[in-house]
Amino acid sequence: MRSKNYLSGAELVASAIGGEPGSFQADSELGRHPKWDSFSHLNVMLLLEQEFGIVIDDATIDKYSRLSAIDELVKVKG
Amino acid sequence: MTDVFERYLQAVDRGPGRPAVCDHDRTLSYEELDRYVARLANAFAHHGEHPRVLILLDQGWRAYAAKFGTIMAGGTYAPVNTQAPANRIAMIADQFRADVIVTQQRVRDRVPDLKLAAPLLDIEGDLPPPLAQARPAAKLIYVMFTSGSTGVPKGVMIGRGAINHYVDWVFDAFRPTPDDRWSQHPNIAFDLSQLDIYGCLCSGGALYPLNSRHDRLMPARAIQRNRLTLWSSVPSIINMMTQADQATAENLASMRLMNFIGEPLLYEHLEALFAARPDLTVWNTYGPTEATVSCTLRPLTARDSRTACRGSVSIGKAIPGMRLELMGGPSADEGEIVIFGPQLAEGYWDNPEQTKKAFRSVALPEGTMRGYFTGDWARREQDEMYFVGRMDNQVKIHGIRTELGEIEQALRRCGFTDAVVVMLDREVHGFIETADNAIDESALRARLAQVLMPQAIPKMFHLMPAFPRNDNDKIDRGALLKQVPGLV
Repeated sequence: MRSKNYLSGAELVASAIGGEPGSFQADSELGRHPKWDSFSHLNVMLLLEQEFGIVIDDATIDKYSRLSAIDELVKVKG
Repeated sequence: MTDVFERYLQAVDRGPGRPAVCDHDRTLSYEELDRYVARLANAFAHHGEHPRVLILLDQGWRAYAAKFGTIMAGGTYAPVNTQAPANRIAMIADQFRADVIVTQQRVRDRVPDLKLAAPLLDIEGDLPPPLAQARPAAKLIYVMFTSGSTGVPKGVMIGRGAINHYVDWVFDAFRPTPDDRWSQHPNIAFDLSQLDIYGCLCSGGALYPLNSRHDRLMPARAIQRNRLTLWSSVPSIINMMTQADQATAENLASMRLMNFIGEPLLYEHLEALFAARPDLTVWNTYGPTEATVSCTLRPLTARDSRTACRGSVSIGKAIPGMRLELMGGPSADEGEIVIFGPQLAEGYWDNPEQTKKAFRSVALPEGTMRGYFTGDWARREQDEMYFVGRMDNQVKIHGIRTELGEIEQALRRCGFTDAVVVMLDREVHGFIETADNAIDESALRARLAQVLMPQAIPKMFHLMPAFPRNDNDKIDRGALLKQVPGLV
C-alpha cells in the first residue's frame, strides 16, 4: 500500500533525501546534486522498494540514480 | 618481522589452487593471481630499478595484482580512486612523477579529459612473460595521497618496514586462516584497504571486493551471500545496514570479527551489531594514514561494550611495538595524540616543510624518539582512551576554549547518532542527521545545558535526512555547509 501519492520524481527524491523538490532539475542524478550521494541513494532505493515494489539490484540502483527514470516511474505508477 | 611479499609467496605456495580474489567478473586462484603479479612485475621492471607505479584501476583483482606486481618489481605504488575528478587524478600523477601508469580502457573511457604525461600500461593488453624473481625492495612501498588542507593532495610515504610491522600485527591479532573470507570494502586509495588486501592475500584467504553498486548499498546482504568471516570498514557502514533493516542475525551469521576504523564508532553501532549477533567480536581501531592503517585496538563484546563508551567507543591501547602519548594538554590524561614506533611514515612526498612540522623529535624518559603529531585530541579515563576531536576543531567562544567534537558527542548522547558541529561567524551550528522533519529543540537545549557550557550550545540546528559523504565514506563537512542556503 502506497503511503503517499507522489506528483513527481523530484517530490519522491526530496522526500527520501531531504531538500526542496524545486532544487532537483530534470537532469539531476546521483552525485550531481549536493544531497544525492551514495549514502543517501540508499534512502531513494528503499523508498522506491517500499512505494513501488522495485527490486533493488545493480540494474535498478543504476537506473534510478537519475531523476528522469524516477519521474517516468512516478508518472506510470504514481 | 616478516616481509609482506614473502608472506604472499608463502600463501601462493601453500594453496595455489585456492581462491584468492572472488570478484564480480571472475574468481582467481592464487596461482592465477600470481601469474598476473609476475607478468605485471616484468612490465613495471622496464621502467627503472625502483619504478614509481600509479595504480589507476577500479577496486578489484587487477588493482591487487598491480600492487603486488609493483612490490615484486622493487617499486613504489600510489593507488588512485578512479572515481576522483580528472584534475585530481592528474594532480596526483604529476606530483608522484609516475614512471608508469597502470590502467584499463574502462577507466580511461570514464575520464576522457584526463591528460597524463607518464606512459600508460593497459592491464588488459599484452603483458610480457613473468618476472622470474622479486627484485630488491624500494625504501617506500607506497605513497598514499590524502586530501591536504591547501587543496593539493598530500602524499604520505610508507616504508616497507612500516607495512611489515603492521601486517605482523594483523597476523598476531586477526589470526587469519586460509578458510577466512575477507571483505574488501574501502577504496584502494584509502589506506584502510591495505588491511584487507595484505591481511587476506598474505594468509591464503579469499578476498571479496565489494565493488558492485548493490553490494556497496547493501553490504549486509553481501556478507550473507558470500558468507564473509572478516569485515573492515568505517563505522558509517553500520548505519547503512540498520537503515535498510539488514543488520540481522541471518545476514551476519558467518561473521567472526568486524573491525572498524576511520571515524568514531558509537555505542548505537555496537547495540545494533550485538542485537543481531550477541556473540560477535567487534574491534575498534584507530590510526592516521601517517601511522600505517592503525595502531590501537579495543576489542569489544556484548558484555563490556557499555563500559568502553563515552561519547564514542574507546580507541583502546597501542598495539605491540607502537606507542601513543597525550601531549600538550592540561594533564597527562588529556592532549594531542602523538604516535611513536616503526609504523610511522617516512614523511610527506616532496613536502619537507610539512614533514618537519608533523614528525618531530620528542624527549621521552627512555630517550629522544621521532613522533607523529596527529592533530587529534584525546582523553584518558579509567585506562581507556577516547577520541575527542580534531584539534583544528578547537575554537574559542567568548575566550573559552571549546572542542567542537565535544559538542558533537553531547548531541550523540541526546540520541542523535550522526551530528556535526561547525563554528561560523562566531556562532556554533549543529547539523543533525535525522529522518524527522522537526525535533523538540527546547528539550534538546535543556539536555545539552546539562553537559555543556552555555556558549557551547549551538545557536542553530540544521536537520538533514542524510549527510553528504566523501569517497572514503566520511562526512564531507564542506559539502554539508553548502547545503544550507545562505550559510557560506
